[in-house]
Amino acid sequence: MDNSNLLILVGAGIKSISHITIEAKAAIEQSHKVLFLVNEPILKEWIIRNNPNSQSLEFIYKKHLLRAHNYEAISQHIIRTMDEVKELCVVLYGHPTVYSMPGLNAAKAAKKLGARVKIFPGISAEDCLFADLFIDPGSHGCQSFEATDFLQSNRRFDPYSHLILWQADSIYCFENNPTFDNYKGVSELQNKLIENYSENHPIFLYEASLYPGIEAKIKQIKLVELCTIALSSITTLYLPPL
Amino acid sequence: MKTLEFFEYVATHNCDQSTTDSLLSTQPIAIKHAFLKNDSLEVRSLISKEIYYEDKTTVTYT
Repeated sequence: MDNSNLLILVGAGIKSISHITIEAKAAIEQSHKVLFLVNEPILKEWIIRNNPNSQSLEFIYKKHLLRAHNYEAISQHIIRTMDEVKELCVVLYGHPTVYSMPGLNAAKAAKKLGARVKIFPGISAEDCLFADLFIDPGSHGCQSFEATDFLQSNRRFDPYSHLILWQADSIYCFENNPTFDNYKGVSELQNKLIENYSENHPIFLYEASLYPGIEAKIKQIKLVELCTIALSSITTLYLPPL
Repeated sequence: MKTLEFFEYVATHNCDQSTTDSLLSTQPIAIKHAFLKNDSLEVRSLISKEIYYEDKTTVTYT
């Protein structure tokens, strides 16, 4: 691999088709090959239509029990594919380096091996949240944590700033396990938050829209109710500043 | 209208409610209902099933 090899990592956004940027579309159309890991099937079809030499990475995503092993396998597959084609485009949903280790690790490895690497940003779930909840992170400041990391590393935060917690549906879940019981993790999260906010402090359960024409789902509850609510795989938690 | 074409049209035409409702009539009834319920996850689940079958015309949504 040398600087004649090009890796373009692009974000497809969250809302299918709507969030594809012009530069991402051009990269998909013009690359010699496209690898993709996206969040819904319509976008898969759209990518294949725009570049028939496209391959899903989904078969690797579910290969190993531990998600970390799958992420590593995806990064390795991207690097191996770069030996086959000069210009490779990798499409990941959301923003390609936000909560997306496989793409970022592959980009770093490819750069180290001498390839040219470009990363085109995409619209993340957090961007959608700012828009749908009318939030400017520049007012009060904004902190954003992955929920397991928030608890495991006992992250310190300022409750007078906006607080966003990702992946609260799978706290302490490191495997692909659709039947995972999240109650213990959410209880712990609720207790940690109650140390800093009142029990009645509002918390928003936010789900960005996946499809054009469909609105985001926003549910406001009291912090003390968090344990009693089912969280989906696309729920992000938001707590407004004190 | 295929489901991809439906969403592509809605994404690129800033459709008003009546246009969207009219286009929805081209979609399988379950997708239409999930769309009107504003349920992204259910729409995704239904589309996944549709794509799973090679002959889409044999799929029945209940």
